[in-house]
Amino acid sequence: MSGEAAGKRHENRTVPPRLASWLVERCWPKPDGEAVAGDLDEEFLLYVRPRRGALPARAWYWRQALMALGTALKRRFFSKPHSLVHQSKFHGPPPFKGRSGGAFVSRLLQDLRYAGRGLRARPLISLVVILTLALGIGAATSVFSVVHGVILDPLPYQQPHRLIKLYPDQLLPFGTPAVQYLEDHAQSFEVAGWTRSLFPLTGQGGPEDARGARVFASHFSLLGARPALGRAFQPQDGRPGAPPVVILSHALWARRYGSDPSIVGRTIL
Amino acid sequence: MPAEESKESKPDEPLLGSFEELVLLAVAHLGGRAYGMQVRREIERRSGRSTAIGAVYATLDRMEDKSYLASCLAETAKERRGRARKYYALQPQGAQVLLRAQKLRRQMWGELDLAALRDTAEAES
Repeated sequence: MSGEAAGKRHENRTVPPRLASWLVERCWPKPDGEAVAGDLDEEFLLYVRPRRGALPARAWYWRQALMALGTALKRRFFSKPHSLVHQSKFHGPPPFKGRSGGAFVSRLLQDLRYAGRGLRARPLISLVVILTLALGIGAATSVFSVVHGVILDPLPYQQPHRLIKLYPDQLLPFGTPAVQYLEDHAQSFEVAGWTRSLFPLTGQGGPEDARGARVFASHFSLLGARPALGRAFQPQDGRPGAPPVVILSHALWARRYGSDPSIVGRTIL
Repeated sequence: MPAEESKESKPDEPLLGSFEELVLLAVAHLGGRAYGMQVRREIERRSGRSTAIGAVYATLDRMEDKSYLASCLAETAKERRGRARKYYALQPQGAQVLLRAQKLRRQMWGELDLAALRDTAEAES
């Protein structure tokens, strides 16, 4: 039993180290890995082991394999990728196909290094290019911000795609009675009207003309908006003789009334 | 005459590195028997320089990229456990660049005072 084990150990020492061979074959870019590992095996068996002995030969193999691995990693990540298929004039079996692993990364790194060297070599041109790019990107960003805010960004209301805004003009004049009629009789859509107006404020903060709008009672329910404090307008608020009520904008509430929550229910006009 | 020759050569012609030159020369010496291990052994045999197989393959590959060499995978042997050999052959561009390198060396060495050079080397050591 011990004789068999010793024989096996001796046999293992006389063949190339399998782990080193496997590492070279796998880590070296294909298809050269096979050729490199094959060369190492061949030289080990034909030349190195017969002359130096088993253990020094294995040490030689490992040294060569580790150096080959270092070169392989360097080539995989830091060197120019191999041309895809060589137009070989060498007569023999068909030329191999190009290596695939790491080609993209190495090409990308190579491009980055080349770009960096180019930028350093011509600082003035680089500065002009960078400034041009910065201006272009800045202008494009500004235009997009405007387009996004005005056209692309949806209105902050419920179902904004179903809202239609109509303006009276000379061809289609309509006023409050027409809107009131539509609000009372329309079956398939809702209507709310408004008109811009100035409201004289007195009391706390001194006199001021606040810009606002007179709206129909259904205004907020149509838009699906709710005030942060207090209540929205209700149908009875729009009836003739009902006490006047207002909803303050957040800006006016913060500026004139100091964001006072007790403003709800107070008389301000 | 060297002055006339130098006028003929173009300044942007590629130059070989010293190890690249050794590898190309080894392939040229080996003829149709040039594969990685043989190239490595040929360099060691002729120059006495110990080289790593990885460095040899990296250089062979680079020379192939520059069209100085062409390669193909071919026969295997029992010792290689079924792995193919990759044979290299010198291409016309490779031969041209080798000849240019030799010419350049000749021009650079030409008319140099070797005795003075030896004196300097001895003084240095």
